[in-house]
Amino acid sequence: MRLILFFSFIFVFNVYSQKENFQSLMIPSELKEGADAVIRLDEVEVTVNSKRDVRQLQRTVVTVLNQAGNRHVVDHIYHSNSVKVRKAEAIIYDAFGKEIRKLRRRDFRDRSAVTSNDLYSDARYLYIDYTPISYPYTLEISFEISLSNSIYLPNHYFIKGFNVSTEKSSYAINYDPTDFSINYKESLLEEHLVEKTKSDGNLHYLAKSLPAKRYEEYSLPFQNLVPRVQLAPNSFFYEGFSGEATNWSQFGHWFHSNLVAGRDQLPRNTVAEITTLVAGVEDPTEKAKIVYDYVQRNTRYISVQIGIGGYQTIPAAEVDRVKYGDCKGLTNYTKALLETVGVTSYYTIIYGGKTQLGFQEDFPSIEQGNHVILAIPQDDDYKWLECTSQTLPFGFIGDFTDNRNALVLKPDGGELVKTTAYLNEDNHESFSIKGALDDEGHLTASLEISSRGLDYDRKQYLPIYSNTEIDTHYKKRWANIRNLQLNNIQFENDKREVVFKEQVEVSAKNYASKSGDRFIVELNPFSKYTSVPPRYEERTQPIIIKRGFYETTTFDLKLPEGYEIEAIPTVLNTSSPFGDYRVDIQKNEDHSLTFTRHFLLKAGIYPKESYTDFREFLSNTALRDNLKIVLIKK
Amino acid sequence: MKSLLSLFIVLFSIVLNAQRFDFGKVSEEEIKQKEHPNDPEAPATYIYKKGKVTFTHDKIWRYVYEVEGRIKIYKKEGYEYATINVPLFREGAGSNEIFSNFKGFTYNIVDGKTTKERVENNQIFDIDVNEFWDMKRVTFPNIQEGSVIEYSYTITSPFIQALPEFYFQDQIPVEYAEYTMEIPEYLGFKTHIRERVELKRESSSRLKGLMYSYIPDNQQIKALNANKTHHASVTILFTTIKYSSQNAPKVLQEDYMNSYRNYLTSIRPELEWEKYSENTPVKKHSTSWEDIAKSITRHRSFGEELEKRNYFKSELTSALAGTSSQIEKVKAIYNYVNKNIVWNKFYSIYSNEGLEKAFAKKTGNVAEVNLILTAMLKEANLDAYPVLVSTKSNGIPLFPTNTGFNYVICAVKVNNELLLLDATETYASPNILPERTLNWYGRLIKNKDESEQVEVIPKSPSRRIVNMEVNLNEGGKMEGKLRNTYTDHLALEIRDSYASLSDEKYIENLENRYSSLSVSNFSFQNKKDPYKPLVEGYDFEYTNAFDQMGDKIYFQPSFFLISTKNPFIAETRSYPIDFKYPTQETYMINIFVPDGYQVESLPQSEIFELPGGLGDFKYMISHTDTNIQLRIDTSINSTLVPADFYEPLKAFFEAKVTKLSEKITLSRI
Repeated sequence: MRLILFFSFIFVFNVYSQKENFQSLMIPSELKEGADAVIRLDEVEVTVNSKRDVRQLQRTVVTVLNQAGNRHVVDHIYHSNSVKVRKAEAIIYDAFGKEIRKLRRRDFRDRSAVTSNDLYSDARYLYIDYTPISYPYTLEISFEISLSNSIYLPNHYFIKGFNVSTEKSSYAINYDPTDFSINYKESLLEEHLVEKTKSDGNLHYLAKSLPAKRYEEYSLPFQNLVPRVQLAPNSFFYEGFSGEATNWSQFGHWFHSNLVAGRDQLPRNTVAEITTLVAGVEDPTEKAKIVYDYVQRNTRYISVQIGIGGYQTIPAAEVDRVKYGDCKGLTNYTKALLETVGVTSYYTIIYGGKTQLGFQEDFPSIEQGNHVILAIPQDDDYKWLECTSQTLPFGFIGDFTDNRNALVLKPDGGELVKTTAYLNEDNHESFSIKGALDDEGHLTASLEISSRGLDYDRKQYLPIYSNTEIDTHYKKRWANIRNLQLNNIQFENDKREVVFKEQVEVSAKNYASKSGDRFIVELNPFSKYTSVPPRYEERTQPIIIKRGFYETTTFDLKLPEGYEIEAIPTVLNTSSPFGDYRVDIQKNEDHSLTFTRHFLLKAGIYPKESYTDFREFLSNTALRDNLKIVLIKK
Repeated sequence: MKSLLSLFIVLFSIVLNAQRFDFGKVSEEEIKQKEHPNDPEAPATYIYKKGKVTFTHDKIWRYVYEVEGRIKIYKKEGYEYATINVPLFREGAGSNEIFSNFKGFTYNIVDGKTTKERVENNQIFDIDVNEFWDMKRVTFPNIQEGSVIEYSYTITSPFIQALPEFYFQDQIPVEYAEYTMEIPEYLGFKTHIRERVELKRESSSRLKGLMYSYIPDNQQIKALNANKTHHASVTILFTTIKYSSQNAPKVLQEDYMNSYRNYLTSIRPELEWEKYSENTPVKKHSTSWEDIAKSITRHRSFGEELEKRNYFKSELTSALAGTSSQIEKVKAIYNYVNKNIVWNKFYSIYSNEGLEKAFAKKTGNVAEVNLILTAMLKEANLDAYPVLVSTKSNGIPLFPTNTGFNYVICAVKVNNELLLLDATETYASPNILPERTLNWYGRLIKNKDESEQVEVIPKSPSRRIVNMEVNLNEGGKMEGKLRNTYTDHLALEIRDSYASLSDEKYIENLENRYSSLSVSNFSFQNKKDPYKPLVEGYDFEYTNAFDQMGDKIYFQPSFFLISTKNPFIAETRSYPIDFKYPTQETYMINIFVPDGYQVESLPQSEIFELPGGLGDFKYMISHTDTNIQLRIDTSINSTLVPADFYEPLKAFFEAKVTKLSEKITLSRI
C-alpha cells in the first residue's frame, strides 16, 4: 500500500515536471555564461514511413537573452517542391513565461528564398514576423514537414552555434528495419555526455545542459567543435530514382549514372568548332587548356537552382545554346567538350567555401557537398578545373576548393581524392622596391610585386576594376602611408606560371615624420603585417593555421643629400614553430640603404597551450614591421 | 542645289539616327565596338533606353508603361546588365501590376556574321518576393564580351497617382534615353525632374478616341441591368510630351555620399488633377509641400488616429506621476514611449494596424511609435505636432510628391523652444535624433490646414573631449590615464553600438582595436542615460608607444588617439560630402618627461582653417622641464559640404595628418 502511494507520488511529480515552464528566470547560470540565447528544448523526431515519405517533427524553444541572441531563434521553416510543411505553430512568451502571442499556420508569412546570387530557385520559407519588445523572451516553434525524397536525412547538432547554450536537445529516428537501413556517424557525443539508446529501427539521443561555446580565431570549423549526429540512408529514393549509398564508390556510381551520364551530347557545329581548335595538338593537357579557355571565353556563371531538386545537371546542349549555367551545367559542359577531343575528365562533387570541409571517408552522404568541379587525371594525380570562373588559370582552384576530399565520379564508381593544397611558400608575395627620399622628406618609389598561390588568387581580380577603384584600392592597402599618390600602375597576369605581377610607382609627400632637424623614416611601409589575433583569457581550442604564407621584401632607399643616419635600430630575428621573421638593414656606399625582410607563417595544427606564444609571434611581427631609422641634418 | 543637297543629308542623318534607337535595328558596328568611345572603362553601356506611358480606362484608369532598351556589353564585369529585374507591386486581385509582351534578344558576331538569339519563356523567372512584391527576372542567353542585348516589355498598372520613375542615367553610360507620356485631357500630371544632364523637351497634341467602360450609377438602369459594364468611346485631346537626353555619363557611388540614385537625372510624374467636363469640379491632387502635408493629415491612418486618446489614459497618468514642469512632462512621456513601444524597423508615414493596436502589442512602425508619442503629449496639454521627414535612404525631397516623405517624428514647443523627438531609437533624446532622419527639412503639421518647414539638421556641434596623461617607461612602454567625453550625436553613435555590450566585451573590443593596448580600472558613466554626456575612463598600458634609439626617444604625441589616415583619398569628387552633423573634438594631452631626459625638439604650434568657416584645426604645444602639454582642436561646422570644396578639404586633412605625425625628440641629459 505504501509502495503504491510512493509510485503515484512519483507519477504526479513527473506530470508536473513535464508541464514546461519557459520562464527565463529559471535558466541555470552556467547556461547563461557567455550565451546570448539558450536552447531550452530542441526536439526532433524523424520517421521514415517509406523511402518516399520521410516525416520530421520538430519542437524548438529558444530563450533570447539579449539583442545579439535574436540570430539563434528558430523562426523559419524551409520548404520547396519536395519538402512540404504539414503543420506549423508558434508561441511567444515573455520573461515570466507568460504567453504574449500565439501563431497558427496562417499567421506565418511565406517568402521566396531566392537570393540575389540565384537566378531562380523553388526554395521558400515560412517565417514568424515578430519584433521583440523586451529581453529576455522565449519563442517556441512546432512544425511537421514531409520530405518526398530520402537521399538526405536531417542531421542534428546538439549545440547550434557560438554563444548559445543548450538546456535539452533530443533526436530520434524511427524506421522499419526490414525495409530501410541507415548509416550514422556520431561526433564528440561522449565528451558532451550525450545519452544514446538504440534498438531495431530506432535511434535516440538526448543531451542536457551544454554550456555555450565561444568563437576563437585560428580554430577548427564549427562543425568539428560541437556534438552532432549525421545520418544517411543506405538505400534511398530521389526524384524518381532509387539508389544505394553504403559506400562512396557505390554512391558515386549511382549519382553518375542517374544524374550526370548521358547529358553530354553536343550539337554538331560545336563539335566541329572545338575539333578545329585542337587540330594538330597532341598533348592531352594542351588540348584541355584549349577547351578550358574556350569555356571561359564563351560562358558565364549563373546559379539556377532548378532541375531535379538541384542535383541533376542541365544537358550540355542546353548550356551550349544559352552559354550560361550553374556549376553543374558548366562542369558537365566542359567535360562533354573534353570528351569530344579525346580527353578523359571526371565530374567531381565537393564542398565549396574557404572552410576546408572535406568529405568524410567513413561516412558517405550527399549533403557534405555543395559545389561541382572537374578533375582531369594526369599521371598519378589530377588537374582540377573550376568551370564557373571566367578568369582562373588552368588547373588553379584557389581557396574555394583547395586541400579537401572531393568525390570524383568515375564511371565505375566514386572515389575520394584530396584536391590541390596551397601551403606556406606556395603562397608567396615578393616585393622589390627602389625608392628615394628627398630633403623635404618626400618619398618616391617604384615597386615590383609578384604574387603566387593564394596571393595570386587574391590579386588576379585587380585588372577588372576601373582606374579610380584601383587608385582607391592601393590607398586603402597602404593607408599607413600619408599623402600617398599612385603615379603609374601596370599589371601582368601570367596564367601559365600562375604569377600576378604589379608594377607600381608611388610618391608620398612628407613621408618622413619631422622632428626638429630630424627625419624619422619607416623602412617597411609596403608589406606591414597588422592582423594580430585577439587575446583570450583561456584558449580552449587548438590553433589551426590552414594555409600559411611567405613574404619577402627588398627595399633600396636612397637617402637625401644633406642628411646623415643618426640611428639605426638593432634588429631582432625570430624563429618559432609558427614561422620565421627576419629583417636586415645594410648601409651602402652610395648614401643609400637596403632593407630586407622575410616572413613565413607555417600551416599546421598547434596545441592550445601555445596560443600565447603564437599571439606573441604575430604581435612581435607587427611591432617589428614598424622599424624606423633616424636621419639628422648635417 | 547645294543647299538642297545639304538639307537632304541633314534629313537623312536624322532618319538614320532615329532608326538607330529603334527596336531590332542593331548594327554590326555596335556588336564589333570594343570599348565605349567616351568612357573606355565602362563595362557596358545603354545604347538607348525608352519608356512610354499611355492610359486605358476600364472601370478604372490604368497606365500602360512600355519599356525598351539596348545594352552593349564590353567586359565581363558588365554581364550583370544581361540580367533584368522588374519588380511588380501587388495589393490583391484587381490591383496588381501586370507584366506582358516580353521580347528579348542577344546579338553576337560569329565568324563575321551577326547572330540573333531569342530569350525563351523558360528564361523568364517569376519570383514571389513577399505579399507586396512580385518580381520578374530575365537573363539573356549567350552573353560574351561584345554582345548586344535588346529587350522590350510592358507593365500595366492601376497605380496612376505616381507614374514610373525614369532614369536617364545609370552606373554605366546612357547614350540616348527617352521618356514619353501621352496624357488624356482628363488628367493632369506634375512632372518632377532632376536634371544633371540636359533634357530636350518636345510636345504635341492631337484628338483621338478613348475607349472606356463604366458601370452606370443611375438607379433605374441599375435595377434593370444589375451592374452591367457599359462600353463607350469619346474623342478627346491627348498631349504627348517627350523628354530625351544624349550621351549621359555614368554615375558611381562614392564614399561619404548618400545613395548615388539621388544624383541621377530622372523624371517622376505625379497626378495633379482630374477633370472630366466643364461642369464637374476639378479634383485636385497634391502639388505643393503644403498640399502634401494636408493630404497626409486628412488620411485616415494619420489624422484620425491622432484624435483617439482613450486607450492610453491610465498609462499616461502613471507616466506623468510626480512631474510638474512642461519639460519634465515631455521627458516623462518620451521616455515612456521610447521604452514601451518598440519600433519594428518599418518606415511609414501612416499607421499600419492603428495606434491602439500598436500600443497594445507594444510594437509598431515609425508612424505608430511617434504618433502615439504625439497623441500622448497632446493629451497632456502640451503643444505637440507630428513632423513629416524624408530619411537619408529616401533621398533629398526636392519636389513635393506623395513619396517625398517616408518618416514621422514629433515636435513639441516648450518655453517657446521647439524640441524634436523620435522615440524609435533607444538612445535618442529630445533634439538628438537618429542619423537616418538628419536630412534636409521636415514639415511640421500645425493643423489640418497649416504646416511649416522645420530644420532637422542639428546646428550645435556634437563634442568629444579627451584628457590623457602619460608616463613614458623603459622599453617603449607607456602608462597613462584617459578620460573620453562624448556629447549629443557622438554619444548616440557610441551608445547605439556599445551600450548593449558588457564592459568586458567593450574592453575586449578596445584592446583588439589597438593591439598593444591593455586597459584597467575601466568605467563608463551614463552609458545608458541619453540625457547626459557619455564618459569613458580608464588606465592603460601601451607597448610600442615610442622608439628608443641610442640616447634618444622619438614619439608622436597624440599616440594611438587620433588616426593619421586621411579619409579623403580619391583624387576628385563630384558629389557633396556628408559629415552628418557638426562636430568639435578636443584632445588635451599631458606627457611627463622621463627622468634623465630633456626635450630636444617639439613640433611647432599651428592652425589651419577651411575656407568659408567650414572648419578648423589647431595644434598647440608647449613644454617645461618636466611636462609636455598638447592641445588639439578640430571642428567641422557644416554638415553637407559642396563638391567644390573637395580640394581644400582634402588638403586640410592632408595637412592635419602630416602635422599629427610630427614627432617629439627627447634626449638623455
